[in-house]
Amino acid sequence: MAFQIPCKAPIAVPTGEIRDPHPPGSSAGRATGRSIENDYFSRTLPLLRALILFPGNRWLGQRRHLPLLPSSFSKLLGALLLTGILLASAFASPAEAAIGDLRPVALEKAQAKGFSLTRTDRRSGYTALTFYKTQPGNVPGAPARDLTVREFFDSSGRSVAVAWKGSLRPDLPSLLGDLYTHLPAVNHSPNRHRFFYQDANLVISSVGTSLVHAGAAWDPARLPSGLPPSRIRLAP
Amino acid sequence: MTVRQFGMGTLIAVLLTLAGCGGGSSSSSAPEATCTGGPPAGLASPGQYSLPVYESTCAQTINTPVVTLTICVPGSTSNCQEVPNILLDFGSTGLRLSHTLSIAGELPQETANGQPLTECYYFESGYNYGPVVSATVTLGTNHVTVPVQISNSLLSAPCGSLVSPSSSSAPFEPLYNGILGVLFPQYDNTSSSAIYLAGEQVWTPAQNETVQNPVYLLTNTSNNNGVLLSISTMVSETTGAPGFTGTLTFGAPTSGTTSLQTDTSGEITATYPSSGSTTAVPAFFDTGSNGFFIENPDNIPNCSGNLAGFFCGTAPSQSATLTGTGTNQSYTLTFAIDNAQTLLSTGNTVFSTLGGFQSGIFDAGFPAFLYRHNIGLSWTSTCSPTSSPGEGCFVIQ
Repeated sequence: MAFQIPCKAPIAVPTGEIRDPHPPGSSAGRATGRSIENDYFSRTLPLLRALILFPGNRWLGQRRHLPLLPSSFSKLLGALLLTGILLASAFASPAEAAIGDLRPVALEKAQAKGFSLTRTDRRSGYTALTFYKTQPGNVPGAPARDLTVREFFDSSGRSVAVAWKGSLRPDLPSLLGDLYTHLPAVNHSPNRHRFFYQDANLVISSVGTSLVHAGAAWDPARLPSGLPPSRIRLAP
Repeated sequence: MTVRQFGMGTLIAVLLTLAGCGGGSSSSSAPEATCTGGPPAGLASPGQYSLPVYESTCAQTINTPVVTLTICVPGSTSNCQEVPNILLDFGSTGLRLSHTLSIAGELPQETANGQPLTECYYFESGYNYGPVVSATVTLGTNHVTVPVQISNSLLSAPCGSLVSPSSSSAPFEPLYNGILGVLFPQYDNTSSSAIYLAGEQVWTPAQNETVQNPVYLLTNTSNNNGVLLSISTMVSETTGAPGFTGTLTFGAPTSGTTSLQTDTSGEITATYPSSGSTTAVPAFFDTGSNGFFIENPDNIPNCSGNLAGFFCGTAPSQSATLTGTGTNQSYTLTFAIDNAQTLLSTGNTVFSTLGGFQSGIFDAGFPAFLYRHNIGLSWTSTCSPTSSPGEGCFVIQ
């Protein structure tokens, strides 16, 4: 891949609901806890970044961020990107999936994906909801497969992190929301059973064989102080 | 996509004629680099039921155990290719080959419902897409004919839009010529990692058209029920080694072993550190992970920059208690972690102490195989008492 503009299909917001025993009182229905400026940059910078990134360190399957363009071309690109920002900022729309979701929206989406809410943990600075899903094996004779997802919400009720584990593969577009577009379209990794990616607004770290998958993803710019990455896991 | 993204994406795409949206794999414009390495000098010959295993000679790989397989068009003894640098993978099921191999274009396509049969196979690092073909593979000195996936990252792949899409395409080139997945169960679509298509229709193929672990197809019943990887090379914990030699033996080991039975998700559990009161986490051994990917109870510093995701500190004398689902099945795994930056600066390619942080799991990756014990997979009836696919044993000898 030389360059890839990431984008994704719309995800329909379902109309069903799961009863949340501990709805965050003050945040439900509020569009965002961030300022317009912050929202503007967090939504445009990932696209800019994705345009100038290139897979780097192939030894380790990591990603090194190299600006590859000659300077004159960079300037042209910069001008075009600036134009793009100005145009794009005229078409703002709300976030549409998991990390970044408000809690009621996250609950609706989890139910639409067949998950049940199994546990709520209120902690200093954050609340974690645990969801569980099981489904029959995909071929006759195969055992049932399952997935547990734990989603972490800050004190404003907005999702900032998810962790998962199970024999079903996680649905990354649903879990990552807009951050899904940060992921590389092509990953030249020699590490078949490990995925790691990080930038200013997304860290995703996962491990799995063909039979079991476990991982965590978070927005490092939004983690509340009581929620270090080591706590982004299924165990309460 | 949102209107906003569409506006911006369209503008840039049109003006710069760059690639478009959708996670497709057809946007590559650079020529594909392939692995040019051959087997190392002095490599042992295969035994009747064994294969030599060596560190990959493809550029830019570390901790990558590989084998050489002879691949033939079924029914032919002359239309064959000896293919080095095929990853020996304890974490997946079935043989997959790069489309860049000359033999790949000779192997007959499987069909289903009158349409070509293709497959999306999902590794943690990303998906591989391509046709399912039939190949005769030489395991030791034995020939088995088996459905094989051809991974062709140049094809337009539907894998990003199927159920639970993977984030990325993960081409084999230039890092592998293929992947030999020897994990149970026999058929790759009994897990959620494989989706087949007949033409454009999602399809459940007949078992004899399903990509599968070729070891199951050996006819000798004492050799088709497991594998054992033995590596005798001494690897320095602080500097690594420039390579290794080992042996993959077909057949579940029968003596001097500790068997750790898995659940139907191929997982055992780990308590790490072994002396701690921490909650047990799922665990597995996997030759296809190039490090230990584990919790970090000792707060080992993480690397930043290019090495982010790995540990950049030292932690000697680690131990984890691994527990199977059977009665009294446990094994204490001792190991060490060293600084990834220091290790890689040696120029070596094999490291027993490379690792990185991962919450909620204990991935005993390839470094775990470098501590002078043999580690295998077994799917005997003892290891799969309920005959559930996905159930087996990790065996330590």
